[in-house]
Amino acid sequence: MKLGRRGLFGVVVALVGVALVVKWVWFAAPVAPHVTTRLVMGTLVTISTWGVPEERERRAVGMAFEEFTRIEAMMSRFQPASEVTRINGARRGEVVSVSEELAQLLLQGIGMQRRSQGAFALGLAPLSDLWGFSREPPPVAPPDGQAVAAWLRRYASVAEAGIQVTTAPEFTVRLEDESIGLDLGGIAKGYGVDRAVEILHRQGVDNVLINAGGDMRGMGSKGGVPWHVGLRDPRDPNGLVAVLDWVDGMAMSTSGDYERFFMAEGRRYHHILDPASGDSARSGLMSVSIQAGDSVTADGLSTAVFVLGEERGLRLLQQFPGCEALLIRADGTFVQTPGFVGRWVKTP
Amino acid sequence: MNNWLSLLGRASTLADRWVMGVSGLGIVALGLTMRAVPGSQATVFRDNHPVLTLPLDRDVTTEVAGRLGPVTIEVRQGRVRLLEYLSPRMIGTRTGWIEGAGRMAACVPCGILLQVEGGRSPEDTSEWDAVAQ
Repeated sequence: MKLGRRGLFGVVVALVGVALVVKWVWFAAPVAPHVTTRLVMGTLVTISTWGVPEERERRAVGMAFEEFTRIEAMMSRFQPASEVTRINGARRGEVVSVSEELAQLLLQGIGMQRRSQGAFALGLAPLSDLWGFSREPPPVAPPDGQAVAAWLRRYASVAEAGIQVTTAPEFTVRLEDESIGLDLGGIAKGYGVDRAVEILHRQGVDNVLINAGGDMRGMGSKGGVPWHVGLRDPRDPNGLVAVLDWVDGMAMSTSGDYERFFMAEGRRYHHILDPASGDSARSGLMSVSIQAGDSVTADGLSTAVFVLGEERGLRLLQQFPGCEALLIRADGTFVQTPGFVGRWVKTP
Repeated sequence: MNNWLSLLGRASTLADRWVMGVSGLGIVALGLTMRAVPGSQATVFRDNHPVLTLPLDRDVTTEVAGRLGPVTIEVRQGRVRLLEYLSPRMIGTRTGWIEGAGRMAACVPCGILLQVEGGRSPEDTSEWDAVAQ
C-alpha cells in the first residue's frame, strides 16, 4: 500500500508531535531554582529561591546576604570591630554594654548551655585558640597537654557562671575569668540563617532554601515539588548517607568530625571541643543532624548532642519537643528519632 | 533492513524522503536540547567580587591573589579546578574538577570562589538542591 506524499507527511508531522509531547510532558521539569552563593561568616552560604521575579529576587537575596555580613560584623571574634571582640578584649569582671540583639542571643545560648550541662558552651574561645582550628595554616598536632589542663582547671571553677548577661536597666555582658572568651561559632550561623529567612519572607520570597555550611532552613517548595536535600557521608565527601524532601519551615543543622580536622598518630582531632575534657569530643559519633523549627536551636543542639554522645544526647533531645535527630556512629551505623525527616540510602 | 529500505523506497517519493530526513534531524536536535548545558566560562571571585573570567575552551593554568597568597586555577578540556593550599578547610581541594553551568569550588580561607557561569539547566533534575555538610 502506497501512503502517498500527504500520508507520509502526516506520519512525519505526527512523529515530531510525539517527540515534542515527550519533551514537554514526560521530561517536563519545573523552572530551575535561582541559586546565589557567597562567602560569608567563614563559610559558603547558598540561597536558592524559586518562582520569584528576577528583580525582586535579586534585591531580596542581596538583603539576606547583607544581613549575614552584618551579623558576622557583630558576632565574629575575628573581626576587630565586632561586639564580641570588644567583650573578649575587656578586663575580666568589667561590665560591657552591648546591643539588645547580642544580649538576647547570648541568653538563648546560655539557656542551651545549661540544659546541655555545659556540653554546648559559648565561652570556649581560649580553648579554641589553644587548638588553633581557626588558624591558617591549620594545626597538625594537638596542643600542649599542660596548657589544656591548666585551662580546664580554671574553666571548671567558673564554667556556667563565666558569662553574665543583663537585660535591665541596660544590656550588658561580663566575662568572669580569663579561661572564658566568647566564641559564637556554635550559634551565630544558625542565627544568620533565621534572620535571612525572615528578611526573605518579608520581601515576598516564600520559596527558599538556605545552606550555610551545615546550617539549613527551607520554606515553601519549587511549585509544589519539595526541596531535595542530601546528607553528606562523613567519610566520603562525594557520597550521601541520607536524602530528604524538605518540610516547609524546617531547620536542620549538622555537626561532624570531618569539616575541620587533622590526623596525628592515627587519631582524628576535630574542631568540636568537649569543655569537660578540653579535647576533641570523643562521644562515639562522627555526625549529628538535628531538625528543629529554627536554626539557632538546631545549631546549638547539634553541637551539644555531638559532644554528649548517643545516650545522653538523645536524652537531651527529649527536652526539646519537635526536635528530631539522625546520629551516625563512629562505626558507620546510625540511629534516627521517629520523626526525623529523611531516608537512609547508604548501603553497608 | 534491506526489505525495510526497499519498502520505504516504493512507498515514498523523493520529496517524502527529504521531509523525513529534515524531520529526523529536527528530532535529533530536540534530543540534544534535553542535555545539560555545559558552561562556557568560569568566573573567579575574591571576597565575593569577580576578579577573573576564564573561557573553558582554552587550557590554561593561572594564579589569582587569595587572602593567604596565590591560588592556582587550572582549566583543562572544558573543566576547571582550584589547586594548592592543602588545608582541611579548602573546600576546593576536595571538590576537584568542576564543569557544567552553576558548579562551584571554593577556598574559604583564601576568600576565593570559582563558579562555572550560567544557572542550572531546567532539565538538570539529577542534582540535589543542597547537600548538608
